[in-house]
Parts: sequence; structure tokens; C-alpha cells
Amino acid sequence: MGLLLLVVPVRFQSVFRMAALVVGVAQLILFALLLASFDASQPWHGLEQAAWFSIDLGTWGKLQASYLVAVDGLSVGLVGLSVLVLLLAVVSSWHVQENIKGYWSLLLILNGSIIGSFCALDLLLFYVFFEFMLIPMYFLIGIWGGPRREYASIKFFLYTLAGSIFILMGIILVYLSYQDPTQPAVAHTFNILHITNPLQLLIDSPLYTADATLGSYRGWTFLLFFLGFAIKLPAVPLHTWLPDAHVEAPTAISVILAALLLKIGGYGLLRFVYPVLPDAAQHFSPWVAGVGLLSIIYGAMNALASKDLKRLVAYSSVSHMGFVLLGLASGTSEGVGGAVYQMISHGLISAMLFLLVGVLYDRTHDRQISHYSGLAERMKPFTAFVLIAFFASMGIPGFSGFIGEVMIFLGAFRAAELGIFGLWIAITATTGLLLGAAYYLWTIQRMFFGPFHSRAGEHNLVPLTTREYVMLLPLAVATILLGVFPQLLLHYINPFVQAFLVSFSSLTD
Amino acid sequence: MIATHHIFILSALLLSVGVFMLLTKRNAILILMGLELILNAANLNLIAFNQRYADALAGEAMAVFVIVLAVCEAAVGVAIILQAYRHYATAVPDQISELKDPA
Amino acid sequence: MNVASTDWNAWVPIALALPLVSFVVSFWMGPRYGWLVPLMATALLLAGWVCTTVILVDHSAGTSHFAVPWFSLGTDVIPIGWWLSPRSVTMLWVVYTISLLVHVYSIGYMAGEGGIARYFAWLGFFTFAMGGLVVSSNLLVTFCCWELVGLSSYRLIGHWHQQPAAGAAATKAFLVNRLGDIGLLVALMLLWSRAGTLDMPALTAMALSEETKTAVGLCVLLALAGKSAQFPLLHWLPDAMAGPTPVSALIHAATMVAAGVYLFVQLHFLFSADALAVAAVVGLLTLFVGGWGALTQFDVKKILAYSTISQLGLMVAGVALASPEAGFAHLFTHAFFKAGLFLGAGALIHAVSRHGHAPQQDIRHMGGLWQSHRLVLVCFAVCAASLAGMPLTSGFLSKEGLLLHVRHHSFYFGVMATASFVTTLYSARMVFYLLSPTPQAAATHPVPAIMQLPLFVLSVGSLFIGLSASPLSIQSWWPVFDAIESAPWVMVVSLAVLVVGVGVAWRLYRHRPTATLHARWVPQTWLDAAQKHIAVTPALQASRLTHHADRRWLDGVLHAASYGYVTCSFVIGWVDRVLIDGWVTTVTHAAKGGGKLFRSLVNGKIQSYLAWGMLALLSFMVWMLYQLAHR
Repeated sequence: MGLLLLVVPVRFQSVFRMAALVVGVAQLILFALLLASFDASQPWHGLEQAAWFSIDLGTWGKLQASYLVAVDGLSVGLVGLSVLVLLLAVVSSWHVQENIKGYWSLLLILNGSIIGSFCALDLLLFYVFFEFMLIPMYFLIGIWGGPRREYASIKFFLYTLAGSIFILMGIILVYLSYQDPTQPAVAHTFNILHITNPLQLLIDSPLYTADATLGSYRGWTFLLFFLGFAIKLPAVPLHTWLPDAHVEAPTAISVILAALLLKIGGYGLLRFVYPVLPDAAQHFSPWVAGVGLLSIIYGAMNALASKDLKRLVAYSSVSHMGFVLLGLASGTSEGVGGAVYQMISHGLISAMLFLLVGVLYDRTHDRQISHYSGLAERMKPFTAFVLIAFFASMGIPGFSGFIGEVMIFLGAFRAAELGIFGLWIAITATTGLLLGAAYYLWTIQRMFFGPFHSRAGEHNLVPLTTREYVMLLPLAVATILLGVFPQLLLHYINPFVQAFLVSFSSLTD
Repeated sequence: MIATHHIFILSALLLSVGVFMLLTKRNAILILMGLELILNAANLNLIAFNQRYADALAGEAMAVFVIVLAVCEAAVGVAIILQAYRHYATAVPDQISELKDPA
Repeated sequence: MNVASTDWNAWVPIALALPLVSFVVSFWMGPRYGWLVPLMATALLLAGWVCTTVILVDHSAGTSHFAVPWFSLGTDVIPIGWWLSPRSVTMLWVVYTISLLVHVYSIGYMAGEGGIARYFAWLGFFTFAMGGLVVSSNLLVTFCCWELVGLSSYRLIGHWHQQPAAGAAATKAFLVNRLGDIGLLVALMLLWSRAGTLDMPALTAMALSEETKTAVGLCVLLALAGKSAQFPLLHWLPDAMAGPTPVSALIHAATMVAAGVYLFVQLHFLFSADALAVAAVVGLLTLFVGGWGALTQFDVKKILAYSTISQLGLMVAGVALASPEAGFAHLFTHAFFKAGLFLGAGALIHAVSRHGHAPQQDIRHMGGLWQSHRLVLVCFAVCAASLAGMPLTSGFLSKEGLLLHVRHHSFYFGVMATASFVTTLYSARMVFYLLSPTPQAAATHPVPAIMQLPLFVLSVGSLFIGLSASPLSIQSWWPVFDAIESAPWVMVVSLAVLVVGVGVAWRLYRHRPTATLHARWVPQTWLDAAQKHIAVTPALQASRLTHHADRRWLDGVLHAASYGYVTCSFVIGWVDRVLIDGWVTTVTHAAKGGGKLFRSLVNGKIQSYLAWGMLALLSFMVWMLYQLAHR
């Protein structure tokens, strides 16, 4: 299995765009090979393990971590998404002008760390990859960004770093509480396979308590993790880094940020926070759902008020990631499956949205919604893609967004029925759909309908180039495909959700 | 026979003249000559002290040594002065201040 | 949940696929073979219509259900399939028939317009979605189609997107519909969480609690209020007339707006008595608001739009009060006569409008066409008669059916009879204006035969033979409608209402008064105001508030925190520099001063070195002598 190459692409050389493209294509091929050998009934695929380090601490036992990577039904979709989006990001930044060498090598480092964190099964390894994403991102926004890039990049960095600290604290607490079954009583473990197994929980360790409420260790650990990942997700009110980072970042970076980095928040919660602390998760689920609801409504409201197209799209991301939280909080197979589905679907759709904003920005260097009108007249294929992306994001049936949202609602209502959280949360969340339609339709009406007008002049509005078609078409096709044949993806997600819920219920019983 | 303390006074005078020359003369050659005077003052003292011990010749022998040493010293000193002169085109030590901290 | 997979009927997928093919191919061919698109789309739809006719003939009675898994959620499977009953088969046929006629009509009507390929593509897509909505066996799939018809309606209302009004109307229509969609979504979710299935055949067999039924019923009512323009969500429909007229005929009169009623009929079993009572009130309210609205308008399309609203209200009230079948019968006849009215209106607009100008839609300026457009006017009048409920028309029969059902409730009977009077009044008003012999100022255009043909077909369908073999009672050849025993006094009442209505209209409108009513009398004015004040403005204000909150408060806290942090670090930095580094600095300063002092001694002059050396030697000697002296 060439997963190693998938995780660690040729990096620290002077790689230029061709190399990046080759890496991207190679990853795509490797992913296709992986998918071909993927058997949904098996839990882990492409498991690779190598001891990373092991330090003897004398009477304290051993501190050890390993390089352990694999994919399962949860990560295979996200890895696939990453491979696709990263490749498209390469295509979309084909014409980056300044400091080419730095740009492409940072992009490749980012590439490696994103895929790495989606594959890592060792907490420490995950954390390292997680942290490693920040640095290239920081530079990519801070060097190649827009006019307020320093502010945006520092804000992004500090916010995410703060989140990482919470996560690190949580990781340490988890580490101290679980033992390595191969060396019992000698070594603790970072291995996700072990920590999700309650048999390895050490007696009298911090997490060894039946109490999962606010004051207990389990409650605290959950909150630490949740806080960290909620920043990444982002959930209101920890989201304010996102609009700034998006508005200032270059197109390709916005795409990666929205399509992949946000997903790591949801992924982390699903990968180990919920399986390790199911009781705490259940205890806090009304709050998680409440935060999700707040994100949905608040994000949509902000999108409605945005004057900058990119900011609108950024806030719509906040709103859509709120659905992920709502689905997670439901703790039902529909809701959790829907959360995974929504993450992947939002990855595709937000990538498309940001690429489209980039297409317009490349032409006119102007993203103010009020500066345009009647674009449908002049840029027909562009309008068609925008409509597809907007409708997909709005959750119109036939696009992947619909399936994700409907599954989440199914889960949320069932959870409300089971008494996990109030019915009003689920019902109020549905108004997010109305608000979503409102801001997108209003934007269409303002920018695309009516007589043609563009403040930047019309000579700039050249037709879409082949390169832009190459970027947009796969995403449009993928959204529609996943909207019409959701089983393509659910085939992978369902077994994961089953396993997830088994561990969930066995602990809570 | 001259009283020893008279010789000491002469020697001290000679030393004073030597030191004065050493400190005040601008030309290196004259400074060297001042140095010779100091050495000669020392020689005079050696010989004067030897008067007390008539059967011993240690004082005179030492003075001969000092004379030889003075010759060597003068030769080396003059050579250095010549070299310095050749290098700096001057024999005035004040103008050769490379030993000084440049600050 | 088991997915029952029983009756495969190849005609259903073919019938559904053909309009979808038309959608795809129209877009594909659009850029290069634009002229071919109308013909191709119509041909595909004709084929689809043939399929639905075959299905109709096959399924005279009973139900058939076919389903395959669509996707699975954990252990649950969401199936996709169809559930054919006489009702759904009939509705499917109606949809395809009207759609086919509208396609044919559009060949003439849209000739020379821009964006023909787009127009026909979305017509095809609408037909597909509507067909799916009608036959789907799973409510989730129904919901998908429900939204997709809304989407195609949005695209078709906004077809002339260069006109700002069309864009605004499209947005409004979609958003109001979306509000209704949310109602349907909530209803579905409640069903899923309470009943565990969204499969219609399974749901029919299930006994749900009254409370669930009320909740679900009210949510479905919201949905159908959005889609079928029931009070108070009816104000989008008059605006939707900004779309091309054939679209109004197909979507905003005959089929899509009827989808709400159709869903009500289909899900009637999910409504509790309370929910039905609410639905009846909503329907009756709509009935009057629509009728009143129609009386206030002079724009022929808006009159028809309000008339549609009113008739939909009648259907909803009918389904709620009378029986689903009676309501459905009215839906069926309404589809024909209202589509006929719209196509007729379109033909008249076509006749009096000049190319390059805004279409002339004011009935005060559309008279005097009797000589030149006799067939069109006759067809229009027949359809209007059907709307008014004249004997010998299908509208008479279906309205009769509704009245018969409620004849024992004197209140409802009285309300419906009054509503019939209003309907008669505005129908007669419209016809009087249009038939008046006042000469037409502008030159008129002939109406092409391809537009007259569908009109003729629809007006024939609006006669009693469209519904029943007998002109006096429903003795249908349609399997779906039950024969109802007629009661002579009901018929007498409705005839009397009709005569009075026409008489009053004659008295009021014989002289073609032209005064426009003040806008405050038009229902839309205050519904728009309500929308603005209740929904739009608060939403925009709230969004500005949240935006403000985001930028000022959340970021403000963040900025305050970071400024505080930076200030702290400055203070700490000062402390560090001044207090902690202070003594270190003092020592280094002392060392530096000393060094400077001593360095000044080292001036590079040999003689000063010697002098210092002498001085040192001298002081050493003095010290030694001193020591010796004090020994």
C-alpha cells in the first residue's frame, strides 16, 4: 500500500507547480487504488505502523508514540475529498506570481499534513499533523493574502493555536488514562485503537470515573476537546477568525481552508472525542446541539448581511458546519451519518463556491455584491456554475447538500423524540434552510438578474478558461452525483456509523 | 680614595639624567642614550659597592657583564629604531602609536 | 424496514425519464441547435404523454407499489419508487397532458424569444419533477420533487431575468415556497421520528396518535399553503405572473400550485380533525381573499392568478370539509379550465401586444377582438364559464360535488355558495371586458394555429365531457371519482347563485368602468406589507444586528483581549528593562566607565608608559622605605 507516499509527499525540495501537480495526480491514483481495494465490512485499511519514539522514564514507565496510519469509512471519504480538493487547489493557483518556490512547497507541506491528520491513528501523530497545518496556512495567508492579510493570518493562527492547546491538554489527560495493552502497567498509549477501547482504561486514572458532568475529569476533558475542535469547525461564538481568514486568503487557500481544515474539527470529534467520552458527549449533547443551532442561525444571519461575496460564502460555511454539530449531538445513526455526509458535501460545495468567487475576483478584483448586476447576461457558463453551487449549498434536492441536511434533520428529530435535546432545537434549525435560501437567492437577484452592470467594467469579464472548467466541473459533477446516488458514499459511512454507535451505546449502558 | 657615598650621589645624578632623558626626549636614539646612562649609573653603583670587598671582583665582573649587555641592547635597540624608521619614516615614538587602542 | 418491491411497470420510469432527457438535451443542444429544441422537447413530451396514457389505461383500479433502496441510514433504508393508485395515475396524466399542450403552445408563443433552450429545458425538468411528486411512494422523494418543482418554477418565473421585476418575483416565490417546504420537512421529520418510516403505503396502514396527526397535519398545511398559495402565503402567486404566460398556465395554475392540494388529498389520512378544521378555515379565507383580489385587478394575468388562489382555497376547503375525492375532482377540472384561461389570455396578449413593447395585459385595452380572434375568445369564454360553474361545463360538476358534500352543514354551504357568487362575478366581469366590442386601438396580430390548438383542446376538456359522461352529475369515466347522488335543491341553489352573479356583473360592469381601485384594496398590498414588516425587515435587521455583533462585540472582545495582552506585555517589558535589568546595567556601566578610564592611560606612547612605570616604581620604593623606616 502506497499510503506512506500519500501521507508524506516529496516535500522539502524546490518543488514547483509541475511537481505539485504530479503529486496531486499521484495521490489521486493512489486513492483510486485504495478505494478499489476497500472493503467496507473491514474496519481499517492500509494500516501502517512504525515505532516513532520510545523514551524510558524509569519508574514512570515509558513515553512512546508510533507512526500509525490507516483509513476507515469515516476517513476514506475525507481523504478522497482532500485529494480532490488539493489537486484542484493546485490547478487554481497555477498562476501564482510571487515567490513561487515558497508557495508551492508550503502548499505541499499543507497537503501532507492534512492527509496525515485524516489518516493518523495515533493521538500524538494526529496532533503533530494538526499543528503542522497551521504553519503553512499562516504563511500562505500572511504572504499571499489580501490587504489585511497580517491581521487575518495572526488572528487565524492565534485562534487555532489556542484551540490546539485545549486539544493538547485533552490529549494528555487521555494519554494518562489509558494503557498500552502490549505493555500493560509500563506504558500509556496514544493509540486511538486502544483509547477507544474502554478495557484499556486504567483504574484510578483521571478519566476513570462514572461522573461525566461539568465538574468531573471526563466532563472537563470533553469540554477541552470540544472547545479546541469548535474553534476549528468553527462554531459560534468562536468563529470570527474564519471570515477574515477567508476574505484575505488567496483563492486556493480559501478553498483548502473551507473544504478541508474546517472538517478536521468535525473529524476529531468523531474520531476520538465521542468514542472516548460517550457519556460526557451525551451529557453535553443539548449544549452541543445548541451551539450547532446558534451557528446555523447566526452564520446565516451574518451571511445575509454580508456585502462581500466571499464573506457571505465564509459565513455560509459557519452555518453549514453548525449542521454538523447538530447531527453529531443527535447521537443517532442518521444524525452522525448525516454529519459525515454534510462534511464531505460541504467540502465539495464550499470549494466550488470559493473557486467561483475566485474566478470573478481574478477578472475584476472586486467582490462587492452591490457592484454587479445582470451577470447572467454576460457570463452564462459562470452563472450556471454559480447557480449549481448556490442551489447545492441551499440544500436543494439532487445535490449532496440536501442529503446531508436531511439526514441531520432526521437524526435531530429522532434525538428530540428520544429526549436527547429539545424539539424546539430541531424545529428552529430548519429555519436555517429558509435563511440559506434567502441569502443565496437575494445574492442571485442582486448580482445575476436585472440589467447588466459591473463597476469594474465589462471588458474584464472574459469567458471561463479551460483551466477553470477543469476546476469547476469535477466539483459540480461530484455534488450532483452524491446528491442523486447518496449510497455511493453512505456505503462507506454506514459501517463506520454502526461501529461508532456500538461503542457509543456499549459505554453508556 | 673617593668616599663611597660620593660615588652614590654621582650615580643617582646619572640615573636622574637618564630617566629624564628617557621620559622627555622625543627622539628614540636619545631615549636609547638615556637608557645607556641608567645602565652606567647602575655600573657605577656596582663598582662602588665593590670597593668594600677588595679581595672580591664580583662587582667589577658584573659591571663588565652589564657593559656587554648594554652593547647588545644598544645594537638591538638601534636596529629596531632603524627598522621602525624605515617603516614609519620617523624615529619619534609618539608618532608610532599602533599599540594604542584605536577607540 | 423492508423495502417492498412488487409491481414493476416499465412505463413509469420511461414516462419520468423522457422529460428529464428533454431537460438535459435541451441544454446540450441549446447553443448550436436552438431552433430544434422546441420540436425535440415537444416530441419527447409527446412520447412521455403516450406512456402516461398507457399507465392510465392499465391502472383503472387498485394500487401498485414498486420500490428499490435509494440509500441506507444505518440499518434503515430509504426506498425510492412509485405508488400508483387511480388518483396518482390520473394526476400524472393531467400533468403530462397540460405540459404537452403548453409545450405545443410555447412553440408558437416563445418563437423569437431569447433563451428558448433554457425555457424548454426547465419546462421538461418541471414536468419530470411534478411527475415524480405525483407518483412517488416515499415522502422523502416526494419532498425532493416538491422542492424541485419549486426550483423549476423559480427558474421559469425568472426566465426574463433582465427585468428586475421578474427576478424579484422569482426570489419571492421561491422563498415563500421554501417556508412551506420547511413545514413539509418538519412534518416528514415528525413522521420519521414517530412512525419510523416515510413510505406512504406503510403509513396508510399505521395508526398514529391524534397529537402526532395534528402536528403533522398543521405542518403539511403550512407546506401546502406555501405551494398552493393559501392565506397568508398567497402573495407570491400574482407576482409570479412575471414569467411567460404558458408557464403561468402550466405551473402557476394547473399543476404546481395544485401540488399542494394533491398532497393534501394524498395525505388526508394524516390529518386529525383539528388540523382539518384549521385547513378548512385557511381554505375558506383564501377563497374570499382570492375572489376579492380578482375583482380588484385589471391585469388579465393577475385576475387569473387571484382566481387560481381562490379556486385553490376552494379545493383546500373542499378536501378538508367534503372529501378528498371531491376536492381532487375540482383540482382536475380546474387544471383544464384554468390552463385554458391562461393560454387564452396569452393568445389575446400576443394578439394585442406590439413587438418590442411591454406586453399589453390590461383588460380595459383588450376588447374589440371578436372579429379577428373569434375562436380564441370562444375558447376563453368556455373556460371562464367552467370557472364560474355554468351548467354543461366540468366546473359546474366539480363544484356541485363539493356543495353536495357540505350540504348538511348550513354554514359551510352558505360560505361556499357565496364564494361561488364571487367567482361568477369576477369571471363574468373579465369576460364582459374582453368580449366588449370597443374597437382595439392598436393593430392586432393573428394567433398562430399552433397556439390555438392547445387552447381548443383545453376548452373541450373544460366541458362536462372532460369529467363525466352526464352533464348533470358526476358519472365519471375516470375511475378515481365516485359517483355522487345529486340533490336537486343543491343544483337549484347553484344555478340561482350563477344567475344572480352574472346579473350583478352585468349591472356593474356592462359599461366597462375603468377606475382603478386604490392599492389598499388589493390583498397583495397588505400581504406584501405584512411580509415586509413581519419577515423581511426583522430578518434584515436581525442580520445587521448579528453582523454588528460579530464585527463589534465578538471581535471587540477579541481585540480588547489582544490589546490588553499587548499592553500587559509592554508593562512587563518595562519592568523587565528597568527594574530587573537595572542592576545588571549599573554593573556594566561601572565596568565600562572603569574601562574607559584605564583605556585613556593606554595612549600608545611608550614614554607615558615608562613614566607610569617609573611612577609605580617610585611609589613602590617610597612605600618600601616607609615600611623599613617603621620596622
